[in-house]
Amino acid sequence: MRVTGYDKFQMTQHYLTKIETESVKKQQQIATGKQFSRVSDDPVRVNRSMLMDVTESRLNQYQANVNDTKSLLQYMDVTFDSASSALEEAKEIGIKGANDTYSDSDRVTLSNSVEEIINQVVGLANSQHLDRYMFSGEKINVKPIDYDGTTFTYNGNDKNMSVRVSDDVNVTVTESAEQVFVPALNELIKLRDALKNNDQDGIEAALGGVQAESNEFIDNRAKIGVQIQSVELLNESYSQVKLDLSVKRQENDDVDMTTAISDFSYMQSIYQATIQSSLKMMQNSILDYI
Amino acid sequence: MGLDFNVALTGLSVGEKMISVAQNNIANAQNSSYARQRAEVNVVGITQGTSGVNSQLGSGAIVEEISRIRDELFIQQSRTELGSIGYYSAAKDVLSNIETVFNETGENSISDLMQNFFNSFEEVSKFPEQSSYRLSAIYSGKMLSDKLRGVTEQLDEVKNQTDQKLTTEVTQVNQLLKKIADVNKRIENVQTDKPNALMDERDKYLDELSSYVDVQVKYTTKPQDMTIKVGNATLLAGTNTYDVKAMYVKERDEWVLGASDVQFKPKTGSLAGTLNTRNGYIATYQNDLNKLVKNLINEVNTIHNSGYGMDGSTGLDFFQGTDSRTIKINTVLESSPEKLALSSENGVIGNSDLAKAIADLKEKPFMDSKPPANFYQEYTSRLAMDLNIAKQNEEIHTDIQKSLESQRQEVQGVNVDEEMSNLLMVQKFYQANAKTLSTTKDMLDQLFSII
Repeated sequence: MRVTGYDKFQMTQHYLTKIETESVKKQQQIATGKQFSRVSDDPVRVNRSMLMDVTESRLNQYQANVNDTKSLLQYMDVTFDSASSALEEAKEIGIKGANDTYSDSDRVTLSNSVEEIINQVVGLANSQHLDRYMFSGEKINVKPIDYDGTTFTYNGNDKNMSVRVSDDVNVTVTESAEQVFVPALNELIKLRDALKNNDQDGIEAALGGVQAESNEFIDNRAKIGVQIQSVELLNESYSQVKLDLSVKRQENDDVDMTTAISDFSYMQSIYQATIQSSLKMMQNSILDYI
Repeated sequence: MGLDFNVALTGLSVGEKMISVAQNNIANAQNSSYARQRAEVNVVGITQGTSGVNSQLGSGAIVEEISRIRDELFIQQSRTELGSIGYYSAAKDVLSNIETVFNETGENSISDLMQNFFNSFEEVSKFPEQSSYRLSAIYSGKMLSDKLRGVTEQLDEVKNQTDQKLTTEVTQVNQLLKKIADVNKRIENVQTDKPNALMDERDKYLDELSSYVDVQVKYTTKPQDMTIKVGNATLLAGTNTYDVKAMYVKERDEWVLGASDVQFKPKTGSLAGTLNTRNGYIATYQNDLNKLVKNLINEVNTIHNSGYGMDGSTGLDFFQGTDSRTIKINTVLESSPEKLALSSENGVIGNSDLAKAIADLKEKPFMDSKPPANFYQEYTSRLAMDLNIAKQNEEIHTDIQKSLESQRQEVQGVNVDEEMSNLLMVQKFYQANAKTLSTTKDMLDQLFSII
């Protein structure tokens, strides 16, 4: 085999370029801490990483949905709590009114107190959270109940807004006042009128109705409680999945520093050895001896 | 004849020629196209007499020819590999530019912005009455369409650069052809069938030419009567060149190459690489992106058109424009976010069915029966794979070419040490011939001194 000077030089250059390319790749991995900085560095890994991005983004969205849902449900819970205390108060007034010791005029006063409670409950139904009416179904910009002293007109609709908290779970975040408030209000009207009219039997009957409606609110609160609990559980499971995902992401994206650094040093020593050996090889020439 | 100066003289002149050859070899030691030369020495085919011992004596040595030591097979193979390197390196350059345009691993990539877009609609579905949420959905659409337009513009830029590269390379090929024709002219003038230096020069140009385009070179008995062809097109015949022309076909948005009115498609070489990436890859990537954008505009607008804004407005487009070059957000929405149609029922603003429907598009398989994100991921993976294949092939062919080049140099390259020892040998040879000359002279002197 003949080896020419030009060829020796060319091959050395070729080897050095190859080693340099590898070194730069390793160095980049060390500097960024990532296995890849372009898709073409490792298409399979990057593709997996992109799929994880999609999953993570969806989880983040669900978590944001869960938090918003919780805030809305909690507001509803507080409203129902106030409503059920108002009904309890009305019940106490009714019980007083049913008592024979009270005079007719006393009962008129009591009926006025019930009227106040009615206004209070209407106020609760018409209350706004984050500038929206919570109890007019989907018509969140419309005041749900108009009250003219005897009847209640519902202005909303009977569909409710819902928020998606998982692929197949939707949580209702508005209610129709017609269903949750109007029956109770009607019972309060009955109580008020019975008190005003001194109708002892009427008072008794209305009291039963108020009690039943008060229980209805307590049931509603229980339902909301269960919903809050279940979205919290969802939230926890999302956090868990995200944690798993971040571990997987680390395995997929991140460089194992020990390996990367030792690979890099290995490349460096090969580089030096190549330079030194080729220098030695090129130094040898017959020209030195003649 | 007896005592004779002529035999010694032939030796001396052979020595001189050999030194000339060594000089030329050493001078070209760094030229990879140069084929080392050797003086082919033979005996002078004349005997000193016609009978007796004299007819058995030789008349010295002569340099019959200065031959070039080369192996045409290695040269051809090495040139083919040069062509492959040129091809994949050109493809790699363009694909790598395209990958930079998409910058998928960086911040604000198309896939990030697409996810943001869908998520912002999920967000606004919870608070459709709040204009901040509406604006955020509108702006996420604006950012996505700005990015898509930007990427398309940058792809156009890559395309323009590739077009320029193509024309530059065609010019370079034509210059090389001219140089070869010029060498052929000079060969014609020297009246010999072995003009070594000129043939070396021509080999160098042919090496260069093969890195641009896969030429077939045919030689005839006369060295200047060579032809260079690509496919059916003749680029050069003897001293005539037929310029390569690059023509743009507007209807197909393609470039074609031709010479002497014959179209040809180079298979390897950087010209082929540039041409194929320009006509193939760039066009495919632009079309696929366009398809995604067209379908997205269509899907989003169909939903948005059917809905009602807070002010009862309906029938509005969310996106304007028809493709990746023209996509933008409906300007009306930017100034009046209340017109964003999220409700499927006029006047019911808490109904955000359509916001959810747009958010759900991220799962809807409207791109070749795949959801948009998956389609786009496949798209970027395909780009990366194409780039990797080009990169790997460039590496593989570089390795093969290097080893072929090594084999080629093993045959034709100059080893300076070898030349130096040859030089020493020739020096001794010359001294020996001079010595026989001086011995003859001494003998004659002695003879004359007797008289």
